[in-house]
Amino acid sequence: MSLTELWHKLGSPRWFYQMSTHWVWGFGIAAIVLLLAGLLWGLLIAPPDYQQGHSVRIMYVHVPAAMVAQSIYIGMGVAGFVLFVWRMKLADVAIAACLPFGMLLTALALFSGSVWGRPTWGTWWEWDGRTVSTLVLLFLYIGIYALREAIPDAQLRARASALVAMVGTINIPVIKYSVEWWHTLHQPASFTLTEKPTMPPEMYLPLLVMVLGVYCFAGYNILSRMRIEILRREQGTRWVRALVTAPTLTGQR
Amino acid sequence: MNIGALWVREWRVLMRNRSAIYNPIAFMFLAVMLFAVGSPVQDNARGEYGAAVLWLIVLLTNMLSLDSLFRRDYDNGVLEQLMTTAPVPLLAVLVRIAMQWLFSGLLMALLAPLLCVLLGLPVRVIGATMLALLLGTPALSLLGAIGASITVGFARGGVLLSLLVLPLFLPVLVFGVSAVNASLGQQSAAPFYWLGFLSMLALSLGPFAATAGLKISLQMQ
Amino acid sequence: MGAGIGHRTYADGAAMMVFSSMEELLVMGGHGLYVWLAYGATVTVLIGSAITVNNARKRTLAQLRWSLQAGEDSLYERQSSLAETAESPGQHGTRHASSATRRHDEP
Repeated sequence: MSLTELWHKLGSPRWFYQMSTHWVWGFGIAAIVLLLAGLLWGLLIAPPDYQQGHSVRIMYVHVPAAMVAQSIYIGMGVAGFVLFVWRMKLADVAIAACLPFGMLLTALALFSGSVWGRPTWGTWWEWDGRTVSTLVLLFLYIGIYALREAIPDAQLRARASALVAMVGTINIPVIKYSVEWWHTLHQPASFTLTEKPTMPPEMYLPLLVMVLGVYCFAGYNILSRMRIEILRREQGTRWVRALVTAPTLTGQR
Repeated sequence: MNIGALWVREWRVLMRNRSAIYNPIAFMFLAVMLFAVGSPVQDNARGEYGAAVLWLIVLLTNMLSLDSLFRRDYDNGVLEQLMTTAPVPLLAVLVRIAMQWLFSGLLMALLAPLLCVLLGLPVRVIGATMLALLLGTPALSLLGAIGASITVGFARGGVLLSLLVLPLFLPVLVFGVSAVNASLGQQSAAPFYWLGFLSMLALSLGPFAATAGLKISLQMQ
Repeated sequence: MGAGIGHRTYADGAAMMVFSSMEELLVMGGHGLYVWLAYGATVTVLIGSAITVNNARKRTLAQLRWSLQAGEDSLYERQSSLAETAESPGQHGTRHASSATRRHDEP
């Protein structure tokens, strides 16, 4: 199947629903395995840090949360671009599906970051490049959420949130760079998250596992939400009716 | 409809509606006064935060004037007419934003000496402040227009406007304060270049996004 | 955790278990509260999201099933009432009732 054929097929909700069935299962199982392994590894097996002691374990949940939260927003921006250029309705389904988990993950990143900061640097909150960027990310998410709540018409809601998502995505690197630049002026060379010293494999391997695990979990969550929304939007069609009224439990997947 | 006609039109609309200019400027001075009254009497404390407060007030004033950027014409149908009859709607939007900047950003840059003195900033900072405002406020107007264009259709769009627009303003704030402080502490021209860059970036994106936003908002009527 | 090998330093590559007792695992050298707060929040978020999504799916499927059932029920009622009156043709009634749900088929 060529790329253009694939692209056109993506516009079809039914095709997407059927294709994503395998992906949802795949992501779900991978997420369970990776997250279980990663959490236990980071909690029990990974070594404590020379300077920070055991609180470095929080890194294994904070960093994945922050990374994936940002990736999800950028995903929304890309979906917004797709909606504007190709008018693919599925892109709006994607944006709506990304929103809840993205916001939750950003909040988790902020919470875990704050909790990490307390034993490490003595404060519950520190305004540095990373914290400001993550907080702004939360506001970017809330902005799209509030916008969607305010527009009743489905098509206009789609275009407006796509526009805001695109603008926000372009803004993310600008904010990151400017705020980090600002804080390098003011903060002496202490250990900040922005400069990661070269990590030994005992530390970056569990981190990698956790990052992959959270990505897979996000994939599972977002695809599931997209599938639910597709069922809702296409409820008048024959294939949805057949799916919904299928007698067996396994037949409904 | 050529650019000259657009400018003349914008000028006439603005002159008929001068409160759109006065209110934000009045707010600006009120805010400065509140800060001066509320902050401790010693001069150093006020001076340290002076640059930050200046830019904060500039940001908020800009947001205030953004709210009315499109609203009146949206309500009376003129905006719809403009967008449908103008051969290049983008140009009409750009001219409007430019006019708004002339009477907010540019005005604030010209008033910078007064602001600096009132905020307790040393006199040698005034030149840098004016330049920083000159370079940074176009970005504020352009980026703010994006938010204004999307929220113009909402009755209570004010809070949503600030939510959408303040993350966009953040880099301008950061470099603006650095630029003002540059003449106090470390001598560095970098923040000025950054402000210019941000304004250029905003100029290349803002009008398109604002036009798209207006098209969406007009369909909501 | 059992009988571990004790505290592992940064350069140590041989030890497997980091904590030598349950006590140590909970306290984590004074940082226990923070680590457990962070991990607890993470696990709550992950499990909570999974449960929420699954419930949403079940709810949506149930709702769709119910509304389809309602559509079929009204169709059945209309058919039987038309049969009772015995004056208008049954075909006309069924076509009218079915058009409500069969709006557009998939591409």
